[in-house]
Amino acid sequence: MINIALPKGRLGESVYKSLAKIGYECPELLSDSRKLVFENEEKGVRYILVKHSDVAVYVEHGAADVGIVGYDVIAENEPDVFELFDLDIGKCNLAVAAPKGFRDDNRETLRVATKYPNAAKKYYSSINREIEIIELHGSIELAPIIGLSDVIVDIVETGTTLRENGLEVCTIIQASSARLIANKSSYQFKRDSIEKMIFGLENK
Amino acid sequence: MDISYNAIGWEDRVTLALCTLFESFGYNRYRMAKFEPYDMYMENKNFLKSSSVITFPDSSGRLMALKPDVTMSVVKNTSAEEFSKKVYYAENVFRMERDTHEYREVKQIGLEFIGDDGFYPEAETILLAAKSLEILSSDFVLCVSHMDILHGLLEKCGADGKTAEAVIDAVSRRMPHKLSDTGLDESTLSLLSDMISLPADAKEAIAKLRELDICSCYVDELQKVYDVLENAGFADRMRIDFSIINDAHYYNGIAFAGYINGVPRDVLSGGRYDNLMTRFGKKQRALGFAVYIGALTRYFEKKNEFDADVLLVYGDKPVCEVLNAVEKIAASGKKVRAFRDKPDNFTAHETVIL
Repeated sequence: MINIALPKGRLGESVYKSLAKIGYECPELLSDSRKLVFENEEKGVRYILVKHSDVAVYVEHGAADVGIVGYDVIAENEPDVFELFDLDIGKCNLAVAAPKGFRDDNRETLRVATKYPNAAKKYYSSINREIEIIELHGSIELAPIIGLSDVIVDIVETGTTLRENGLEVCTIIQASSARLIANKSSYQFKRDSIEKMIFGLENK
Repeated sequence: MDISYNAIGWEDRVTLALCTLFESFGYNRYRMAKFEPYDMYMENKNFLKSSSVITFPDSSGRLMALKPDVTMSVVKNTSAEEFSKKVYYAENVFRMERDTHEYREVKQIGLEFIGDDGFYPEAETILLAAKSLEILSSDFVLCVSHMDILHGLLEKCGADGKTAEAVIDAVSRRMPHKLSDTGLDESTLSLLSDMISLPADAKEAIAKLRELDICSCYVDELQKVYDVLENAGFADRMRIDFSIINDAHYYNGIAFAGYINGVPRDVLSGGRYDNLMTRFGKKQRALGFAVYIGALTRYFEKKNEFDADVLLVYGDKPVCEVLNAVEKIAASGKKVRAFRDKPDNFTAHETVIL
């Protein structure tokens, strides 16, 4: 039995469809159920649906053997897992955005609102810019509009939300896409199953 | 005094079994009875599992550290003149947990083989690592790597610090897709990719390594490790795994890590650390490993169904009579608790009214 942690939402559904095509189907998962664990004993697969930012936690602690998670989450939390395969979907950028026309004159500590504090600290440390992190968990775009922060560090897919709120991307910190991660111990004992899954995803 | 092996918990049983194993191979117990200066650990902080250390001033005001590690203390207290020294330890160390950022006291058992020539130290240490894992569980895997292969390759292709860091990150996390971002030439990338995707079977993996542009002396060492494990009946437990990468400032040569099915993290890690010896001004070579016993108890310690085997209710009986009854039950190998009256929240397999 291989345990797969999938993020709830669009990314999880998309990845499930790919996995179903290569023999890891579990039709119940697409039903309107409130269940969080779905199992297909015949196919030897159990899916666990979790919050995107928690996928790596489940995998690192061995509650799931493998998981699908965006690189942005991996870069932020640096889980002790194997990052085996880039699925090349769920593409987006972790970027610095600010109100249109914003210019950082380096005179004051830059106030950065973000739900990616570690990635933001790492980026600004790499360019030797002193910052103050304001950690938020949602509606990050609001922060510079109402003066809570100077800039934000957030995930940008199409940029529509930024535009609608009068913000624009200043710098792209890193590109992100969905990755297949594996627990280091599970990989040693379920290597054949995990590699078969990667081979299937590569050649789907 | 007779000791009932079943009367003690899993952690104590395993500790006893490992210590007995190490003693039988000629290792002497090292007791870390004194604290080491904080400076010593900070000068070598990348050698530590966690660089956060609990500190306190000693009587002269010098900043000391609360045992974050044992190996460095063994190295420091080794005479440069000793040809060979074999020690083992079973110590509690204090480390910050990665997840909770809280300090914890965890038991660690390990051994250090300092000095001596040739391949025997590797052979014995690898064998004892496999035997230690077998004591913990029969379902284990011992992953073996050779530090000089990857670091030699990085040196050969002139990788700068940033590139080396990116390669080490990609190899240690088995990310073939990240290798292309490193800017290395095609042949080096292909070699690294092959190293990441070696077959699981160690014999096949070594055969594959022989086809690659890797110094045969390193592959020969991995072959010797395989021969040792095969001779001991552990060949199917061995993996060649270059994701095991230790800091080159301290480690070189053979490196290894042990996993147990059902435990999410490595339970044993070790390797050769001649470079640490050099940093401490010691001429000897050295290697060793540690077993993280403290983190394993939750996976192996059986939950007690009852608080005791026998609940003895003695009422108003004289204490000597009660003690005689307790001793009689204990002598039969059972765990007994005596109460004047039967308690409400105490469970026992059997209740005896005196």
